[in-house]
Amino acid sequence: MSKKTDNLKLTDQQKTRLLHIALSPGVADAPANEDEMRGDLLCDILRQPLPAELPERAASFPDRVAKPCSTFLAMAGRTLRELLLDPKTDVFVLHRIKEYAKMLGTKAESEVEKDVFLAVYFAAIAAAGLFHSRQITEHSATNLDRFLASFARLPWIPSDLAGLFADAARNQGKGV
Amino acid sequence: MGRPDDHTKMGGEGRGFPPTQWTRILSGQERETFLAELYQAYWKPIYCYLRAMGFGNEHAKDLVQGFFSDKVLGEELVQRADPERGRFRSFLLRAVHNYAISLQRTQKPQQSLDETREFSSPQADPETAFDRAWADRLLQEVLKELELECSTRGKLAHWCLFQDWLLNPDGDDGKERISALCRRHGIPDAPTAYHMVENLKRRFRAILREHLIPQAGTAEEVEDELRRFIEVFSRGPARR
Repeated sequence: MSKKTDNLKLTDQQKTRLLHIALSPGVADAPANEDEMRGDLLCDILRQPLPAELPERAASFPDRVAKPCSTFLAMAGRTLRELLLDPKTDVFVLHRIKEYAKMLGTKAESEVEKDVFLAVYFAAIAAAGLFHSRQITEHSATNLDRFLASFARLPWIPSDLAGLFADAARNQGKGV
Repeated sequence: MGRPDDHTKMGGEGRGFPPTQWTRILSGQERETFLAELYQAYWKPIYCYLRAMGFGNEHAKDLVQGFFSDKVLGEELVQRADPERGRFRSFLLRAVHNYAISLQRTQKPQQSLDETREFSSPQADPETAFDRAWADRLLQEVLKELELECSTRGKLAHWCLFQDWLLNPDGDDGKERISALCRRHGIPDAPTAYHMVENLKRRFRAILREHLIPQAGTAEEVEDELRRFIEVFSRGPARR
């Protein structure tokens, strides 16, 4: 890219213009198609940190006792994107992300939301398999391979996450 | 000059601190991360505030360093903050102001505020200078996130178009301009280009509001915050 944002020297007029964009209600926006909406929602979720406290069901993991609270808290300020793509992210945290996505999925109000939460759910599974050789799901290896590969091909999945799915699918295919 | 909390409409009663940040400072390791982020986010706004108060360049830099080491780290300033008593930014501003004033008093008669003034301008409102620097950083952060999003979603042409649209002056609009942008970025037609710009405007709006919600609170307060920033940038530079 020719112009990196770091080098953007905005005038006051341009800043004001940008702020007006955020101020306007956006009713005139062209409606986004469903894939666009999925991509937008996924990016919004990936920018969020993993909540420090999850609901009851997420606290009932079998390995919760085995992991000190500090392991989780150390990760709590980082975004889901960072956690999912970082090979050093503890498998316990990935487990929490998976359960968090599952919990969000149960509250989803649309197919778009369901699809997005499912992508986060499988991204956590993919990261655990790829970076830790750990299977944190009861899905069969064959099914998992298929799911991961299909997520890697979806047009609304950001490239970094698509790369994670593709690598995990390949890894899974090798029988890891 | 009045007290910092005299002339702000951005604070007020009942506005909570950012909940995620508030949670994060409870943990030791997270506290360190939080403090590092705090330093990064507020160094320049505090510096600008002090400069607008009349402190010279080097003195202002020293004061910022001193504020972080003496108050933020030394006196656990953040942990002493009461989320019930207003927003974090307002709290921090008051603390900086008090720090600068108290330091000035203890240094008398060797060095007074007047002796370190490098400029004096009716436009040099310290709180505006602070908000200006803070909003400036916020916009850069949001644009960075938007750029990252575009790069991972195969929308680099969207991003380039958005930048070109943004960097061109308001008056230079119309069919000719959009046609030129289409040619430059290999976009088939004007409706497609408009759609691409609208798409990123929507994303920009969403990301910026996402950043402001934890700071401001409700959607209405976000609107107030945005209007405040627009006012700040519409006024021109805080000092000349």
